Amino acid sequence: MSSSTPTLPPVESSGLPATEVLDSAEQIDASLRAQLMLLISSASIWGVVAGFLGLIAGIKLIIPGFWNDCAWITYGRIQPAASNALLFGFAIQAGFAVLLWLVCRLGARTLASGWTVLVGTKLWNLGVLVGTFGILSGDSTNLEGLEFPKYTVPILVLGYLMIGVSALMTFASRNRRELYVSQWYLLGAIFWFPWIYGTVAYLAVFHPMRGVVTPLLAAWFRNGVSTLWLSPLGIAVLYYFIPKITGRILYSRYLALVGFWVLAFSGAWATLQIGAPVPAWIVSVTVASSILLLIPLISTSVNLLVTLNGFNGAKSNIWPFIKVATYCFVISSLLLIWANMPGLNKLTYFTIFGDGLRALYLHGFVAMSFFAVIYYVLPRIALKGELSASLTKVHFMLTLSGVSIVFLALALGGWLQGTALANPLNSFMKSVETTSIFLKIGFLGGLLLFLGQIVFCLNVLGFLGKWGKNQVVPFLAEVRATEPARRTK
Amino acid sequence: MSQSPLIFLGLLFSFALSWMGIVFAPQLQLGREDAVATEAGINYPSVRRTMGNQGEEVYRQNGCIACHSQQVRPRGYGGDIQRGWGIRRTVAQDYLRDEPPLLGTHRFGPDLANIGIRGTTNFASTSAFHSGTNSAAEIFNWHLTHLYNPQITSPGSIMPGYPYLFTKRQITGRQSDDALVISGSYAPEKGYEIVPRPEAYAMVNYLLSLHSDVDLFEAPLPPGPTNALKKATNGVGKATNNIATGTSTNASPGNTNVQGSSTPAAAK
Repeated sequence: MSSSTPTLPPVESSGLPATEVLDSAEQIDASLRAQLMLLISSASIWGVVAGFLGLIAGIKLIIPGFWNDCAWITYGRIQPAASNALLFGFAIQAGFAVLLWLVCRLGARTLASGWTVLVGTKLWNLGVLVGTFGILSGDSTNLEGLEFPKYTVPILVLGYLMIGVSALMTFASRNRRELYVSQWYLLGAIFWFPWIYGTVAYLAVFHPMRGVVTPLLAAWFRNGVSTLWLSPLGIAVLYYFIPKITGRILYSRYLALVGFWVLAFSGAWATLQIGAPVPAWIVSVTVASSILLLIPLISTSVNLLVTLNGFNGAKSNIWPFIKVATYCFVISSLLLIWANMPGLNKLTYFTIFGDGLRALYLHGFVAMSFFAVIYYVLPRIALKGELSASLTKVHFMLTLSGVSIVFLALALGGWLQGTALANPLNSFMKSVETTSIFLKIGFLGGLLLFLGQIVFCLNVLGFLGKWGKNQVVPFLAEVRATEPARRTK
Repeated sequence: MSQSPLIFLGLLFSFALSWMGIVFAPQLQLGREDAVATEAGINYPSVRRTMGNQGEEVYRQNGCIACHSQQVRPRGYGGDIQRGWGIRRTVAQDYLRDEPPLLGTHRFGPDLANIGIRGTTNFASTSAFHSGTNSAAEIFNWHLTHLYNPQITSPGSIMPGYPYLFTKRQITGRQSDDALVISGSYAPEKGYEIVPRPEAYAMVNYLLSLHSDVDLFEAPLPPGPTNALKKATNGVGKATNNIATGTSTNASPGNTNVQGSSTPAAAK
């Protein structure tokens, strides 16, 4: 199926030494079968769980009296549970699948040390499950973005290491030695996550430093996990698929190089609000690094947009996902940088404005690019069968409309909330009243996103179920066919 | 030739740079900060007493940080100070006793950095004292009732109630001294009363312990003696101590009508 398409975008296909023995795409996909099936199905289930928890959190904001007797679903617990389940259970886990597949395909190498991935994935899911229950039971660390309790950290770290080791071994023993743009980002992602998460887990959760350094570290993590883990993976996907589907050569390798290195140097600086209770130079550095982030954003955007410019004749079922991911990457990254600038930051920091932007980033860019990989890769690792085209289309439409509504409602609502708060003549309740209508509209968007996650999950699990049945039924038929023969013996 | 070792070194270097900047340098600057003595010779930030510490735990368990920040930005930043949320900005020194500091990123509810000393006229739903004599006990009750069901004290609030921090029980004989006084549609059925659990008391103790109003070198108080918030400090601060030592908060008859104390807000 995939043999007709080149494994590598055209820019790399010239000048390869003839001596390299490359593993074929089929071999690679087959070597990833069990691992990707496990990662993708787990991620799709976590997407539904996170959507469900997020929906309850949304109800709590609209009807504050909803089921108040139950401590487990009070807003302060269910909201972090939902966002952590979405980040760790869905986004990062789907990211593992994307990472492993791209590392293998681009290196033309079958997966090394596959069993550690299987064990690591099980551990990771255990960690997310324990962590989500931990938050709901009241054990949150209260470090925003990092609420999973202390006892889940070792499970998650071990899980990551087992997956990361396999990715690294595969990368190191790759058959195609020359590196494509996407691989820089993949290598970065492999290292950045454990460095950031390890530092924060140790210095903020296990041996918390005193005073405001811990929330500063949490902000560093929140920022790092998106700019140095989710973004690099999403960008790697776009750099892989856009040349491949359009059949064009990547516009500029040098632009990509500049974008990558400036991202590496400026991506890991925390984003704190203006006026935070920390020394002023930290806030200044934050603002400066945000401005620097314009360089990778512009170079990557120009590179991708010029490459896909005017192309619309794709028959590929994943092209809509790629296109939306590209545009959402450009828009959400630009807005997120703008939101760090002093003027807008003062107005919107404590409002739902940032939530709208992050929804666009996470559901519009990150998830869309990961969905593209998942829809592309599942039929290939299964070797036969197709995912339901209509469910794929429904999933795409639900996600696109959901994220648009959430983004517009929360961004506009947050802006108005900030404006209401900034004027001390307004009573505080006025800011609450202003916000509540937008929370209701945002809830409808969230509902669509949740339905999208359900459709996606059904699509994936339905496909895997059918695949499993196709493996088992012929086997059983064979057993049955040989049964009488055995009996007669 | 493979460039991957070179890329790895680049990654390591760029990451180390941000590590030095965001992890190491702030720790170097702030790690040695310690409590400072105020004019009265008391350390600031002062140690939170037992109940306040337990209350902080309740605050953390229920994720209050999801809606409430605890930080005041400088004057001119979103009206934090004009709104009466503090008399000065908060700085790193204010958070030395917090594990972890609960700075927060959302304001679905008002900021709480100074809730322990905030005048009731600066509450999100303004409230006025019912009596002029026992304002601290009245504030304590206001907070308890607000925690039980925010709609009683602040109609239209989107804060959830925390009935699980309270016990509903049948009145045997006389009504308990510490039962919440609720009238109207939110009152329990006849013959029942709502009594705060220790968690609720701890939480209110914690809330009343929150203040960042000490004159610091890096965050001086604005000049001038006429500061409404500062005046409130003295009244509440003294009374909070009474509460901490006393066992029952509803003992004096003058302050029991919590519903009455919030009528101005409802009328507004």
